[in-house]
Amino acid sequence: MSASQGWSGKLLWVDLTTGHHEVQTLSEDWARTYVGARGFGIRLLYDLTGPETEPLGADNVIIIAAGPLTGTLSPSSSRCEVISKSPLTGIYGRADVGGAFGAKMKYAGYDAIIVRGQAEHPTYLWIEDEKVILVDARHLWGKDVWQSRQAICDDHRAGSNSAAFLNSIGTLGIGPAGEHLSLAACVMDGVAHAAGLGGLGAVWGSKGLKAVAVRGSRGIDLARPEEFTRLCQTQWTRYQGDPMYESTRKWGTLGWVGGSDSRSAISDMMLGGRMEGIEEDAFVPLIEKSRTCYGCQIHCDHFLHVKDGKYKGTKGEGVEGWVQIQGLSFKTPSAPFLARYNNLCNQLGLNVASVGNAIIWAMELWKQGIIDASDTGGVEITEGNEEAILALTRQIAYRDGFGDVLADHPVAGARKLGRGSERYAAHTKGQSAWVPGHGIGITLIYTLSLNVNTRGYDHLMGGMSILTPDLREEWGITRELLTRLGEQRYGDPAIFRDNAWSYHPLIVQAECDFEHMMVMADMVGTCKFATQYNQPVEGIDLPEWSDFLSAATGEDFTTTDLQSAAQRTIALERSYNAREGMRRVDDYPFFLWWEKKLGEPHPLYKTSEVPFTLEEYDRILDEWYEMRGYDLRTGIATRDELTRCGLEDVADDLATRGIVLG
Amino acid sequence: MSKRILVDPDLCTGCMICTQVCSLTKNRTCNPSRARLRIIDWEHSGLTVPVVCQDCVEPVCVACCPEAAITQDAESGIVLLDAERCTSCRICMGVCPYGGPILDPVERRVYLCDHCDGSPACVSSCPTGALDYCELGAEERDMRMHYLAQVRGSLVRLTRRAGGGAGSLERSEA
Repeated sequence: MSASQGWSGKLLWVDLTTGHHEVQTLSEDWARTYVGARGFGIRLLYDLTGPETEPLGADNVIIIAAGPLTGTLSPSSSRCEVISKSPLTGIYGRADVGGAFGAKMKYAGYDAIIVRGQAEHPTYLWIEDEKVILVDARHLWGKDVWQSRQAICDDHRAGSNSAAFLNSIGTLGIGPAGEHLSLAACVMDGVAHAAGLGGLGAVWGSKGLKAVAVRGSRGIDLARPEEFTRLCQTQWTRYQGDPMYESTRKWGTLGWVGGSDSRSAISDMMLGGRMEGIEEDAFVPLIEKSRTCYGCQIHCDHFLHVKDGKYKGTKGEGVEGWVQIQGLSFKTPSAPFLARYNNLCNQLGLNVASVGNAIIWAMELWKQGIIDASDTGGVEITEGNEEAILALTRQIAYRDGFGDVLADHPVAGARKLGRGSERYAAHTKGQSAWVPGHGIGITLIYTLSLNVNTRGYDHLMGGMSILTPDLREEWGITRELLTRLGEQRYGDPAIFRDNAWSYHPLIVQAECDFEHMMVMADMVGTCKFATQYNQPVEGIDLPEWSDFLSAATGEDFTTTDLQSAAQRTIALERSYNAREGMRRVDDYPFFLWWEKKLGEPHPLYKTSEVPFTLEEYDRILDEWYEMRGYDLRTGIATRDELTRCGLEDVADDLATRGIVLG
Repeated sequence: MSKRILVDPDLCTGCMICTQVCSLTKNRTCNPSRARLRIIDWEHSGLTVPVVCQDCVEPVCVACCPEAAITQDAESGIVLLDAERCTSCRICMGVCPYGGPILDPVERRVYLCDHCDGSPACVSSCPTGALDYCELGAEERDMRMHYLAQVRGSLVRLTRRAGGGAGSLERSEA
């Protein structure tokens, strides 16, 4: 049986070396087991790559996968995954993106596209329903992301209006950063949405794949369309009752940074210390209108236009709170500058978080006197130097001058530079972390979540940041509300209300539940903003998805099914990483990892200066492993757990490779 | 005067929910390329314009239809397309200055928005109020004129393009 409702029903396999492609029918069993997007991606990646795979070689694969809800009316469901073995971390490389590509890929009839091999010359993939062609992209090589999207449109529009034709195609592609194998390179969806982490743009560059463009007219069939539409309408109405809904719609992530005490708590979370110079609502004068990803009623994005001053004429979207926080770290908080910087990253195809972390690292090295103008080709990497930041950003994309070091931030870059610079290159599993924060979050459970993440340091594994007292008080996440939610969900008024640095016996259970929701969002194709990650009272969680998925696919999905599927995905991702050598030590914040790996305390960051003890972290990590069924000593999923997840083949594979399973 | 679909491009975020709901309502499938309205998005200028039949006072489509398949209801002023008579010749698509008639790429047939019999699904699911369904008072008429000027000045003429997909809008500088 094939899965063709909710799912589009087909996988497209493309080999760049031979130029051939093949269409595979999506089997119902397989689709049900791995659900979609992130679930499809890790299963394919596990089977197609391994320790012998060179991330920038022909053997690596590019997997683009959407979920069964992607492109449907389901709230905020535009997401698709871009997955390869990461050249940055050497482990599981995953980045997901909103925009419109995932929806359009499904409208053309494909749930996933798997690209293998290496093209002889730059190439792009053009898909129009059944028509699949590899197109010579030599005329695109060297072009930035915006120019390249326009050029692809011009190649095919045959006299049609440019704007209208552009609207009808989805593009995923790289800019000069990916072409030059910069490990800060991302894969851009359209002009302003990025599949950011993991340096995956470099994988595309190494294969000579400039872009994938898709235009679809088939749409997505649903098993019970009227019921599905009703479920969506009910959920839209429910959102109105959530304290976070209106503020998220108005501000998006920009609102997380602003000026008041509770909002600047986010800078604590990101930076490990409150920042000076936060300009409340700095971006307001630049906002022309709200913008959105495909099919999203939240519209957290903004279209910005700088109307005067040095950066006059800068227009674009996609500036996130992250960028504003970087501005604070750079000591360049000016919104017009940050709009320009953000556009530059989008055009060059750079992951703004990787670039920011690399530049913050360089600023620290400059301050410490570890590097000077003779290293940087004369660029003064001083705080507040806007010109230097823009120059370094370009250099990171093209691997020019000092950019060649920064393009490999954190691990390989520090190795290349030496001089003790690795002490400042904070990371988890090779994915850069904010330097001042060193992998520490706002609470103990959040810190755990940042570091056990299967793709390295990142805040989107779980962490329950929304359920932290005093963080978003003014937006209605009051202590009273947290008390009520704790009582309702875990029969314990204190679990969220007191969620801080102290240990709570139920907190790991709550975290695991939260992680299942986060992973399922990536599996079905829904944005986390539509879930309880950001709408803690009325957001979508597993029960809502089981209704959506059942109405969409006609398959009966229960909450328990979804929980098992999320658990399976996490176990599979952890097993992939275990096969690449990741162990318990790699689940610690940077300075503790340093101490455990090298047997000496981190020279700058003292355990005594952080709000938790090593014992406390050890205990919560133990408990997380136990809850998940992982071996306490290694952090690897046990044979029992893999069997529970239906992954006996994975257990056998790991055992064959001499990896001891608990 | 009966109700009209009133468009405010300044409020449109380009989410496409209206087009998804339209295709679900009319075709029981999620396929925006079959919807009876479009959103044209100039991604580098932040302009996002929903395009739907405006039920013109003097509809040029009615005058040009060789099959007399498009008529204007004398009482309500609403422009309707009779699918039985329509041969999908697409002349209406060529002459409409507002991109009203659309070509369904699956059925290869021309359709016009029919207001869902007085309760347009697109309007009720628009998350920002960029689409409204109301009788036109003086203020709404001003808004509508502003919108139409924007549409006319920046898009418009739906051309007859043989290829499928989302159809296309011809930019008319005139």
